[in-house]
Amino acid sequence: MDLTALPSELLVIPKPLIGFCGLDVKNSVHKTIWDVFNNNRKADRASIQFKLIPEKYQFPKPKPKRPSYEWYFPKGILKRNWMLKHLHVLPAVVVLFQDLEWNDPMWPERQVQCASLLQELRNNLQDRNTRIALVLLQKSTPQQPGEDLLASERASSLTNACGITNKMLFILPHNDHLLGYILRLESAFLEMAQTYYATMAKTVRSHREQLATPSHVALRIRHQFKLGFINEMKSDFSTAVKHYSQAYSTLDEIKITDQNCLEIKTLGGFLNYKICRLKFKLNIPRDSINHFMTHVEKFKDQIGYKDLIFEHYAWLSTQNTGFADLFCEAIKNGLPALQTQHPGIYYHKASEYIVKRKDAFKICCSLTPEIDPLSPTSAPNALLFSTISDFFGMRSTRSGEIATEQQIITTSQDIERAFNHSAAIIHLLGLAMNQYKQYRCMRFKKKITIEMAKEYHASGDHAKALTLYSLMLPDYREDKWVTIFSDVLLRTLRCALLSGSVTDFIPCSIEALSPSIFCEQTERIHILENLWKVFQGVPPVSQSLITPEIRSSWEQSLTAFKSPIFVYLEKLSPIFDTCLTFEKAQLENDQPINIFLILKNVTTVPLRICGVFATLTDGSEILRLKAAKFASFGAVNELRDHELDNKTVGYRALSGDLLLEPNSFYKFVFSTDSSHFIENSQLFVSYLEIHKGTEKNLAVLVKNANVIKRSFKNFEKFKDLVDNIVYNPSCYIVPTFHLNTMTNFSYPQMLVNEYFHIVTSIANSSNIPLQNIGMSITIPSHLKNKVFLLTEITSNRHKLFSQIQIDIGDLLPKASTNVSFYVFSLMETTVELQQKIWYTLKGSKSKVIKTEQTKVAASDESPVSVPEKPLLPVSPMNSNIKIEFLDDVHLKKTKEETIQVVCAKEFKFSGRYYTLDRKALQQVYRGENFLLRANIKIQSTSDLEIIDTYFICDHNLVQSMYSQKRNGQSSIYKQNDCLEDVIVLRTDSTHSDWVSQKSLEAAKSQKFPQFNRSLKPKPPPPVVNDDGLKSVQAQDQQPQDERKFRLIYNKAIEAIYPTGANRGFMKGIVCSETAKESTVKEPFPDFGIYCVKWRRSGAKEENESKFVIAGIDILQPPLNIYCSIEEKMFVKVPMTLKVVLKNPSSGILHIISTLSVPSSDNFMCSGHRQLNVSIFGNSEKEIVFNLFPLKVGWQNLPQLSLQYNTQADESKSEMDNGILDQLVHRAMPKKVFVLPNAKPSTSK
Amino acid sequence: MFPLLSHRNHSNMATCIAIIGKDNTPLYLAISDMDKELDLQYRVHAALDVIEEKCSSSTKMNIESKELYLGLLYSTDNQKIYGYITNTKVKFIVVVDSGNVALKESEIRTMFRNLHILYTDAICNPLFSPGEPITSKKFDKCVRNILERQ
Repeated sequence: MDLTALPSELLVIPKPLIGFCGLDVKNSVHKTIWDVFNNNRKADRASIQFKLIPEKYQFPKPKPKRPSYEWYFPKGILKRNWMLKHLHVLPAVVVLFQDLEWNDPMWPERQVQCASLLQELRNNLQDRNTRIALVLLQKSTPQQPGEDLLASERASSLTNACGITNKMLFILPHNDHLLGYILRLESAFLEMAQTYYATMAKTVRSHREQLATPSHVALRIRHQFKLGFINEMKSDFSTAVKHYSQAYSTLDEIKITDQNCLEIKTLGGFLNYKICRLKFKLNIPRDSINHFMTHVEKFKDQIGYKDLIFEHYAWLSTQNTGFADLFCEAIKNGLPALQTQHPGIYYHKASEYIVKRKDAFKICCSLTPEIDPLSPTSAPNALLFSTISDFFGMRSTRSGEIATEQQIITTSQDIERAFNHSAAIIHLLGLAMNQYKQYRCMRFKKKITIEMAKEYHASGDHAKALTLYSLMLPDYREDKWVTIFSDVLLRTLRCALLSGSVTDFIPCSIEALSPSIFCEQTERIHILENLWKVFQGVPPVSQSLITPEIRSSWEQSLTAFKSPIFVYLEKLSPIFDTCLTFEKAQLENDQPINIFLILKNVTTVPLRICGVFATLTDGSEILRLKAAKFASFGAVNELRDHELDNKTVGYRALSGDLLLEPNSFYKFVFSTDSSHFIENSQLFVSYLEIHKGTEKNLAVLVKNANVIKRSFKNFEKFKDLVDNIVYNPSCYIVPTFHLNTMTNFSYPQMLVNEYFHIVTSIANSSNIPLQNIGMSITIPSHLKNKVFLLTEITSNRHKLFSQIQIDIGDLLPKASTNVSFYVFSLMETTVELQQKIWYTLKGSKSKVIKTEQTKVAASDESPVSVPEKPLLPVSPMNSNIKIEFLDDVHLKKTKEETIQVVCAKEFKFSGRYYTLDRKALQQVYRGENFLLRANIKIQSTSDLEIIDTYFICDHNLVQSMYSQKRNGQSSIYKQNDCLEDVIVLRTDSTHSDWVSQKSLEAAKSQKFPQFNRSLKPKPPPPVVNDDGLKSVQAQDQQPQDERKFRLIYNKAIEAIYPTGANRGFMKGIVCSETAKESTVKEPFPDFGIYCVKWRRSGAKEENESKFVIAGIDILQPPLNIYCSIEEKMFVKVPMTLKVVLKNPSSGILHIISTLSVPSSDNFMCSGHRQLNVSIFGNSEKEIVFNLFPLKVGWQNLPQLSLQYNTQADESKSEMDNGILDQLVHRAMPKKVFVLPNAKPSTSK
Repeated sequence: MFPLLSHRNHSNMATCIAIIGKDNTPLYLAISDMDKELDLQYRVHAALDVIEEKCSSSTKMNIESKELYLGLLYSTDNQKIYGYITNTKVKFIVVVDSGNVALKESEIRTMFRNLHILYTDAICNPLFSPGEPITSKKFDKCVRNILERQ
């Protein structure tokens, strides 16, 4: 038993004690009542301890009170039994339970019995202030007080008979509401208990008043403690703290000697415990912590007997543990703790004190040689004193006398020997660890784990220590605190050695060789020797310390050891510097692959290895290679000379063991050939294996062959291995493509609207027949619907594609073939055609030899077998060749290429409208003749032959027969040559009565699938020319996006629903007009399409360019004027000038027509010069003038003027005549050319 | 790994000065009493927990806070451990003897400020690779001057 431990009666929370008599738990009713009282005492119930008092129980008799303390000297401060007595033995209230109904037939007898029982109790509790209560257990529910006369009468008789007041009599009906009644009883009992304790406190206080002399310090402390305790019983915590604190400070008045040191510390510890607990309870945790701190500080140096210094540490540890427990309890009750202030700190301190206790005890034992700390004597008999002395912290002999110093020391040391220090330390560390973990102190936690491991190690439990150490190893390795890590590693190694764990011993030994571990060279050599012994199956002998058990455990584990053991060098501190490189970064299929491993032993000891393997992969296939030969270099500059300056070096075959000297460089060569892998793949080494050990016990050191990536080169050129070698981290197997293609253009440049011919010749350059050759051409997506492909040109409509695929079939070795197709573009651009060409051949997918991989395959548990993700992104350099396996034998190769065709403009087109008098026209009158001038300027650099030009006008327009056609049907034009067409047009409808194809033949236009989106150009807004005239320009191909559904036809005439010669409806225009919203500026329908048929000079294929001619506004004129004269006029030959006036309106027009003949004598005129003309609605009137030319050459014609007859039609005014003038001006010819009298015969 | 000079056993200003990188690996350690090296390293290492906690809570509270001095991280019976963090998350830790009651907090602040200046000078060396341990002899000498000042 540990003298410094806090007794349980101190640790429990004091509760008022209430004893029950007369309850027989064998009786079910009594049992229920007892259970309701005693069970489920949660926080909401009053804090009371209930106890069943057995029959005939004798309470302890109080000691006779001494009248005065004057000559009394207490032997100790606090009696050991006092707290226990008041907690568990002396109840504050004793309750007698009796089954007694008011109407009990045997009432008088029962009453007497009851009274005698109570009397007996009272006698038993003589001289105690214990309260007594009587509870009658009744079946029936009590009635209201005063109503049940029998009850009140019998109650008063009972109280009289028993000598109690009615406040001490209770009725407990045991029916439905038992818990409610019991809760009320409970509070009544508690009240009685409170008065009991108050009385008791008063008694103690009265004793205190008698203590005036300073010699009674011990008694003052005792009384203060008792008061504190009693107040705690009363739940008066603040008063309790006051008394305890008083007692604690009174302790200072006692002079501490070696003899009383333990007692003072014990009492101090008790009081501190109580104070801290209550301060936590009163929610002043800071005070509590501070109190604890000063408490520890105060007693830290009060050691007592020097030979029992371990006892002092035990006390300190207990103090910390107790406080940590209190702290934990407070946290459980809602106290928030901090990272820097939490129970873990105190548990940790407690454990540290136990370590000190252990060390102190060991020193103590070494000083007194008769005590052997390792072999406990059969001690119990040697106990000279009972640990249960009368007073806390006192030691006395069995006979009760105070023990001598020598007795105390000997016995305490005997007791200490039985104490399991390690278990206590580990237990406390475990508690501390949990707390540190909770308060996010992972590093503290790690530190404590290491301390725990050390303690396990010290206690001889090497296996547990090893487990903890090996758990911490990766953590500390990651933290890179080398000193700490070295310490942990070497400790782990030691535990592995002592516990005979081969699987821990080998990796730890290997890592310990790393230069980044702090370790003496001699020790390193020793580690290497031990490692080699293990490889050879011999238990490693630790420096003369190896005990037979360890040896046998080593023998066992060595026989059980399953070779090989895998050691992942990535996870360990480095022992090798390695660099894997391919001889070539790129090679052809079927060429040999050479891989070099440059390896440097960075340790300070020579390392023996027995094999080097590299695993080559292309992402799917794995090939394990064994190094066949090697070369060694003494220094890095030798290696550099060899690698970078091509200095030759002698290779030696690698067989058997090889000793790697420290700081030497080795180059290992692995060879295979690329036929193991499919072409077009990127090869890299996934990992490296270095075998170390013997056949029997083999360690496989696995290292990932990561690609070395550095942001900067080291400024020392020899520092990084990779700077001194040719470094190819990967190797690409270039695929072969057996087909050669050549694309031939018929002309260097393609023209817009041209069917451009392209011929591709495909040749099989290999010696094997190729099957299923195919080619596809695709228009890039951004040019779809602007550029098209054709496989053939027919005389009629063409099929246009955006992608074509041509199957070529098979090609024999060295055979070739041609493929031709056409490209057609509607816009000036550079077309990048995507060409794909493919073929299949018999391949060999399963060429990869898998037999060599036996060893790695056997070690499936190896986590590095195949990296999930290739270390290098597989990005073949020739990504235009793709290889697919159709099945096991057939291989499909596809090559992608781009063909670039430049497409240039063929013409520049412009069209303008003019009136008959050659003024720019912006609005045309219905029924009026007007002109369309179409100009073409050749843009193409090569000569073009214009075969034909024609205009197809809308159904609503009429193309005059008199249109001036270009003469010469087909001729050759050079760049910048111009040609012009003038076309006379007339429209008979305005936009409001425009005849659409829909109205003419509805729903007939759906089934035409093709698409020239730019056939109709963007409606050009009238532009102001330089001369200030407004003109409408019909522009040609301007790409635009808002117009869709454009149709393209091989020949423009096919884009028209013909309704006459060169006349019809333009397909698709209707839908585009509806698609156009009113927001578009120009709502006028198109007037037609201008077509140019052309070809390159010397070529056969005809091309046709089409330009949509936008329309202009059409107005309703007040009058249409048509003038006609003879085609040829001769001098002195009469001619007629015929003017037709047409009234397009429905009303009658009254017009005065006047022909004014100028004064010059160029014409003679006959007939009415002035006429009043009336024209009915929608009819016409012809006015004929007979003219007789008198002169030859250009002559001004007499001028016609028209005026409204304002007398006949009063709605018209002089003002309206202006418009008539304008109409006349537009329609009437101004001049004629009069020919001389060339044909006298006819004139005769 | 770290250049360590022979120690003198008189009462020093501090028992240990540590500079710890952004990734919590030690960049520099100066310890006056080499016998306690391991124990001190464990303590300094554990102090990083407190720094981490302080920094995470302070960023939550006040990002604007430019206070680099972190104050007392924790104390044991024998040592007091103070912390300081630069804007680049390099930590300075100073361990002083608990018995050295004459040491004022302002002196510790000054010590950190001087350390920061020395550190900045040291890493301004163009041949210094960031994140690597500081091996400059001049730096070591200056830090040891701080360490051993009475």
